[in-house]
Formats: sequence, C-alpha cells, structure tokens
Amino acid sequence: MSALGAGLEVLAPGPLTTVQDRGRAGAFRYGVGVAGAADRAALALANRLVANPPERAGLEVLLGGLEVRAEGPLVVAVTGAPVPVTVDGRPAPHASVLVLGAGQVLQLGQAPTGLRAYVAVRGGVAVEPVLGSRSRDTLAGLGPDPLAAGDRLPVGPAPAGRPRLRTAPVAGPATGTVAVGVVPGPRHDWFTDPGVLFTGTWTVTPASDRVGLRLERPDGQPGLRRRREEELPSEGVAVGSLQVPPSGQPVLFGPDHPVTGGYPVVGVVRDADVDRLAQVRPGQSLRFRPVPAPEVPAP
Amino acid sequence: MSTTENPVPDAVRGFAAGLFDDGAATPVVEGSAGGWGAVDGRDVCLAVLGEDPGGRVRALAARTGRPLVTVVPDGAAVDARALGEAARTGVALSGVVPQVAVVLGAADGAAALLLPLADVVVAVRGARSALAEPAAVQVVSGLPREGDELGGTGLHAEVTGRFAHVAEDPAAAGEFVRDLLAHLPSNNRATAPRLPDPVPDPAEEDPDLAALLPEEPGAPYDVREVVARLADEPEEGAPALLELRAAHAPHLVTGLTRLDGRSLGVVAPQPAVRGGALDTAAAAKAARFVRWCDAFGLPVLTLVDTAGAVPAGEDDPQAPTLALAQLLYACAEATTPLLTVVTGRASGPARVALASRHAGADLVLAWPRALVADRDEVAAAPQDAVDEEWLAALRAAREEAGPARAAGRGELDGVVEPAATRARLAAALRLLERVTGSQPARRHGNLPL
Repeated sequence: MSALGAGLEVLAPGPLTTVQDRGRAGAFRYGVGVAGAADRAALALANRLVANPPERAGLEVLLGGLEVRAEGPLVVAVTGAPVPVTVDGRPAPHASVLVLGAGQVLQLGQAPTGLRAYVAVRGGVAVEPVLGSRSRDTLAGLGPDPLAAGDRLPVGPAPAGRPRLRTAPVAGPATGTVAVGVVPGPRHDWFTDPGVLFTGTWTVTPASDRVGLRLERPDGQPGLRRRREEELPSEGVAVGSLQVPPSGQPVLFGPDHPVTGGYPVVGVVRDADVDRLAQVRPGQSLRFRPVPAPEVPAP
Repeated sequence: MSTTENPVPDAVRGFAAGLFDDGAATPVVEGSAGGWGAVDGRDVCLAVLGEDPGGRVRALAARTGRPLVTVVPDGAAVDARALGEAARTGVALSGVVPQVAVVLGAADGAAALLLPLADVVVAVRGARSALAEPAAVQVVSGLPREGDELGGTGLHAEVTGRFAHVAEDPAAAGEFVRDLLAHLPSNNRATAPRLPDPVPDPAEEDPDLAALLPEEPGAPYDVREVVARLADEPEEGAPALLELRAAHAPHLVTGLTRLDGRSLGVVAPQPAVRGGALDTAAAAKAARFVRWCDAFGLPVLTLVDTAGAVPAGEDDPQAPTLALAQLLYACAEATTPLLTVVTGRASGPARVALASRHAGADLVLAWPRALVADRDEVAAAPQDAVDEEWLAALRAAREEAGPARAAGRGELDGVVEPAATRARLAAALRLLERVTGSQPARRHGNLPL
C-alpha cells in the first residue's frame, strides 16, 4: 500500500524498539551472530497479515510505548504481546489488518502480559541492510540503531499479494510458569547432577535482555553444581543454550547471544519453544522438561 | 451407625455449612452428612459419594424433583457397582433436576468418570481428578508425572474445563452452589425464581452503555462489562454475572445473570481474548451451556462480537467444525427463548451457530456498530485490485455488512441502540415467559458428539 516515498515517522520509541527480520544467518564465521526477531513467530504472523514476504523487516517493541506516524497510506499489523493499539487515539484490534491514512498515528500502549510486540508494515521496514539483514544485534551493536524520536523509517515496495484475513485469532503469551522442552547437553556431563535442571522452577531475573535470560533458583531448590572445574575451551553456542557460569545460575541465550561461550552448556531449549522465551517477563518462572535431540538429516 | 465410628469429614461439613440455610442437611440416614435441607428457602438434596447407602438421597431427589448436589470427599472410593449405579441414577435425572458435583480433594479413578456426568462441577482449590494412575502414565510417557500434573485444579479449570468453578475452601464452594441454584428451577417442570423490583428499571435507558465499546469493531473490550450493564444490579456482594468455566476458553464467556428479575444464561464471545474467536473449546463450552439452559427452561442471551471460527485445518484439534455443529444443534433444538444481540463482528458460518435468526432464535437485534457478513471485509476484498480500489472495496464491504442492510437480508429483526437494549430484552422475556416446547416422539436426537 505504500505510496511512493511514504514511510513511518517515529514520534516516540518506547523503552526499546528495534528493527528486526529473520536475522543474519550464516555469518558465524565472521564472528557475527544471528540476531533477528526474538519472537520469530509473532513477526512472521505480522508479515503474513499484511501479505509481506517472510524476509521483510518489522519493528520489535519492548513492552510497548511506540508511537509512529504514517507519511502516506499504509497497511500495518501488530502482533506478539497484547499491547493496547490505537490509531489516532481510537482503540484498534490486535493481530489484525489496520489501514492507516496519511498522517495517522499508530500508538502502542503498555503490554499487560508478554514482553515484545511486533509491528509489520506492508512493504517492510526498508532501512539499509547490514551483512544481508536489517536486524539490530544489541550485543554486537550491528545493524540499524534502536529507534529514536524523529527517526524516519522508509517502507519498501508493496508485495504483489493482498491481505487475506482481517484478524488472526492467536492465543496470547503464556502467563505464570512456562514449560519448555530442553535437549540435554552437550556438556551435561560437566555437572554432578544435570537432572536438577528438570526439577522445580527457574525464575527469570530483571537482568535479562535480547542477549539472554538470567535465571535464578527460588529459595530451597537445588542449583546446578559443576563436577569438572577446569576451563572449557570456548565453543560455539546456539540460541536457547543454557550456559552455566560458576555461580550455578544459568544464562539462557536469546537472539543476540555471543557466538561462542566459555562455560559449559547443560542443555538447549528446543527450537519450537524458543519464541515463547521472548515473551517471558522478569519474575515469571520457567520449568524445563527433557526432550530428545531432534533428528538431523544427513548432509 | 454412630457418628464417632464414621465421622463426617470436616470438608463435607464445611460445604454443607456454606450451602444450607440451617448450616447442615437433615440426614436421611442417622449420622450421615447426606440428606436434604433448604437453600434460599427451596429444598435441595445432598449426597456424599460412597456414603449414600442404597442411593437413598438420589432416590429422594428423583421422587421430590429437587436439585441433587453430590459431594466427592477426598479419595472417595468408587467400585464398579457404585460407579454404575451413580451413573444410572445420574443419567436418569439428567435434565430433570439440576445436578452439581463438588470435588473436595482427590477424585481419581472411577470417581473421575462421574464428574463429567454432572451439570456443573465445583472444586475446592487443591482438588484434583484423573482417571489414569500416575505410575501407568509414567510407564507410557516416560516422564515422571505427579497426580496434580495429570488432573490438578488449574488443569481442570483452564485446560479441560471440567471444573466450572474453583472455590477457596469448602464453605465458599457451598456458597457458590447456593448462588448457582438460586438461578435455577428445582426441576425441569418448575420455573426459576423471579426476583421483584429489578434495579435499574428495565424501561430506563442506559445512555452510557455505548461508550463501553470501542468504535472500531475488533478492538478489544471486556464483554462481561456489557453483560453487567444489560443485567439487573446484583444483590450486595453478588456478581452481576455468575460465570461458569471462566478460566476455560476465556475467549467465550458463559454464565448466569438476571434481567427484569428473571434468570437467564449468557453466551458471549470475549473480544478481549483472541478476538473472541471460536475454537473447539469455546464452541463446545457454548454448546453444552445452551443445552443445559434449554433443559431447565432458562432463556439464553447471546451477544455476538467474534473474529469467527479459528482458521485451522480439520486435523487441528482447535478446528471447531464438530463443536460448532454441536452449538448449531443446541440452538436449533432449543425450545427455551433464545435472544441474540449482534454487538459487533458476525461473519462466516460461526455467526449462524451463535443463536442466529436462521438457526431459530426468537429475537435477533443488532447494534449500529454491528458487521454481519459471510466473510470479513479483508477476506472479501478482491486480490487483484490496485491500492485505491482495494481500499474502496474494504469500505464498500463494510457498508454492505452494516446492520440495516443485514436486516434487509433477513438476518436480523432490527437495529437497536445500546441504550434501549435492556428494555427490548426485558419486553421480549416477558412476551416469551410462557413458551414451552415440544419435541417430536423419538427415543432421542443424535447430537453430533
């Protein structure tokens, strides 16, 4: 729907809004991580609603607070955390096709549950890509800067297809304790009892961000204790890795995780559950369940 | 049998204290907690599962046409005979007298099988119910599972919907059942009590009601606030809507309320959750609720504002096809008054299942913001249109879906302002108060289970 030259003007970015797409896959060899939307499914849904191809970039809005003005007629959709959405101050539906007229203001309120909302705009946010992606990597400082008031975001050419459905009725993010599947290893044998991971719950602390969720044990529950104390040579880590520093309090790696880690990884959250981690708020708890390693097709 | 040999559990006593006007039942068998007693002045029978020798209490409920409340004490043992007998008498009374099961602790094994047979299951926090033994589940699944993980309070309140209400303690459970029964007739030939002097006067307009809803259809709001405004003001401390299965499929609200002093059931997709879309859980919840209201002659008020049926392949457990057919069946079969107000989006086949005019509702009104269409405007817009045409098509589809046009197509009986809705509903309930339905002679219909 983007008329020629129409884009988005940022009036307020909220606590942290970044441009994200599916990430920068395949750049590990340069020491560059994947980044990309923390809740990949939510961005993908927003893109599908506005009939964008899946690789188009959108906005990842931490907690809400984003305010943007459409410079021309635009079609947008807001998914992920169920933030109140308004267009020129009038409440608008979530996970729905929204038509913005020129000059209209889209505003996201505070998320009552979940952590990250996603805004897709038909045509995609068309800032300059870096190493093939428009994702902001907050650890490496790579990709487009986080949004600031006064920024102007160009919108790409409209795709061929039209939106097909007004509203995608999807369930909101989980509240309370969130259960996720974990494939044990690769360094579970570095711990006296790696099975402790699968007992009780782990609380997400406020010191959590796109790099990782820092977890702590509620009082009275056993922590993970190392069996081997020697230094582990640095090795590659993946999103969802549960790396355990000497404190015994694991860090669960998010999209902006370091490319390598020097502490043993006791387990890796299965890919299907990684998106849910993006919506877990500090104070919520995780419960880990062991799942078998996925079968990797022969090359 | 003396009371000291077989003491009545404290939890059963606490429940009876919350339920009965006199704080306890008159026992049918000396020393038993089971018996009968007045609840808000009307008699109710209370059976204790496993302690109703010869089914005396259940027989009394059948003989007298009184509601039957069955308490399941913690760890109640149910052998094959007891299970069969409880099922047989319970089924014989189904749709004859209201049946409520109250779970005070573990209702595992055979006892778990009795709960779904009750009209309403009320549980005390910490109660649980699972048919399977945890050890057997562990062998099959390979995962250590504790009893609560197989059927804990939260699981049944949210996932299965088997627990329609969770009370904090036995006395609170008793008080909830008391509030519940106040909405119901004693049996299918009786009429639910009508309270005098409803407030506000139903003839009075409510000019502020319209402001509760966002202008843009699809924007979220809490439909329970709308119900509370259409309903009578409740008595001190009571809720305007006695919600049942609130935590299960919260994208569709079911509950009991009063309008002009008359009890009625409410079915309302909840726009605040998942756009009020209908999946299997929501449609099945509505279907069972409508049939239950119909069995006891409670009118059903349906408020329609929904994103429609959840789009899903037929192999997806969420795909609501069968459950929507059950809801269609329930509405088509119902002889109790069905009143429907289309307050917002009503598109696709789901709108027909929600007590539509075509499916047999007595009165279908719409608010000015309603959108009634076979497909939502985005789905209906042409795929090959250029930008301006596409926008124009969206606007045209919306206009076509407006309530005046929908009334012209015969989908609605008329358009009503939100402010005047309560008065229209009160008048319709008065007009319909004597309707009775008759079913053709047959063994029974074949509900698409």
